[in-house]
Amino acid sequence: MPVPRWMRVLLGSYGVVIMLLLYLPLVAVFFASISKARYLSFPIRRYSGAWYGEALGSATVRDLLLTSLLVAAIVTVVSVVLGYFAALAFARYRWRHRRLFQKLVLLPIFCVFRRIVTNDSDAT
Amino acid sequence: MSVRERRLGAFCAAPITLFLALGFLAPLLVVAAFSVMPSRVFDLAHVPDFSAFVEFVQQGYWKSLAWSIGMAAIATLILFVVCWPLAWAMVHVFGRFTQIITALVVVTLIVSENIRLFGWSLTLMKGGMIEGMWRSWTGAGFDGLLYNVPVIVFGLVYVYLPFMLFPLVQGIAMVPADAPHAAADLGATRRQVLLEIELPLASPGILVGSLLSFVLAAGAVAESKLLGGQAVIVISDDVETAFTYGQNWPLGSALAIVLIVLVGSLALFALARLDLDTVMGRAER
Repeated sequence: MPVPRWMRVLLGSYGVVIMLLLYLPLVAVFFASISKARYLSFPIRRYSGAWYGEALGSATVRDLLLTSLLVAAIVTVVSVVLGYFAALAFARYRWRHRRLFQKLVLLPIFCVFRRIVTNDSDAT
Repeated sequence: MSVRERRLGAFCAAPITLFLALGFLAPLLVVAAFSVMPSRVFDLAHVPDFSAFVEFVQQGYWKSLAWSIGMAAIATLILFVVCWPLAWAMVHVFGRFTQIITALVVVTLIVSENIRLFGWSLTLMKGGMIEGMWRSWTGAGFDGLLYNVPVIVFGLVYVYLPFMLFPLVQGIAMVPADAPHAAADLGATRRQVLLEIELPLASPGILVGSLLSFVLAAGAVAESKLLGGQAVIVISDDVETAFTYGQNWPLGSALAIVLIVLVGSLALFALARLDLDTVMGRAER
């Protein structure tokens, strides 16, 4: 079934609009980051890179960043190892509890649970 | 299936099974046990009563649950309607641009949810990107667009878009190319092809996408906090408050259990009629 031209154009523009909307909040954050004023209000009158200097120069920010990166690195390694073998069990081998296994592994994805079960405030 | 293959399968599945048992199942059981403890206790050595569940009904916590479930349902519906044309176009129209769109969507996931929602806050607030620009162009301002229920639903739709979009793409790609053609040759209208061929054949993708979006949205808290202000309290918010400021673990556990049972049974119900092999496009041999 050929897709008529008007429909291609319509769908193309629709895709562009969605992509723009997806990035709009990040644009707002970027403009906020280069605004000189302490209390942000659009349209921005004066620009400055001072906030970046302050962020990069701060020892606290550096510490927090390092902690985040360290945690991320550890989590990546552990997830890759666990996930690799889990995927191997699912994809390569036919074994008795395979069907049950795939459902169990999927369950925590539905992670209303995750936030509640671990009661962590940063999972928001 | 040989003995060796069976052993290797079980062996490879062991680490994650152990991990999930300790990191997922065990805490879940602890929460379940706490939910039947008397109010404001911090250990499990008490005679169980169901006071926390009574509180759930009498103190009106069910309203937060209703808001969470209601907004999640509406967001899921909107997401399906918004994502279907895009997903369909990604499979049938965009060609190599599909990869670009995929990449663009994935990249937004790198930025944490909180920061993106905060960006919407900056965009929609009074004096924000939209209102501020409008005022400087036209001279007439209006109130900010934040702090109401529709903006919370909008936030949910925004944050969970990838979780609907990608399963839908997968589902639509699963529809054999011949089927719509054959239907059209036999005189089916575009509407009939959509309703009677594409939607049913793409249903595994629709199911996964809807379930993911709904479950994630039902447990979401950042959208209502950052965009909704105090317009409504969602159930996850209540759970968090009970565990932290409230110092009432049994209440928090009971609220969590109600949500988990509700959403969990929905997830199990859907998972029961879903096979990962089908979704991945591999027939069971």
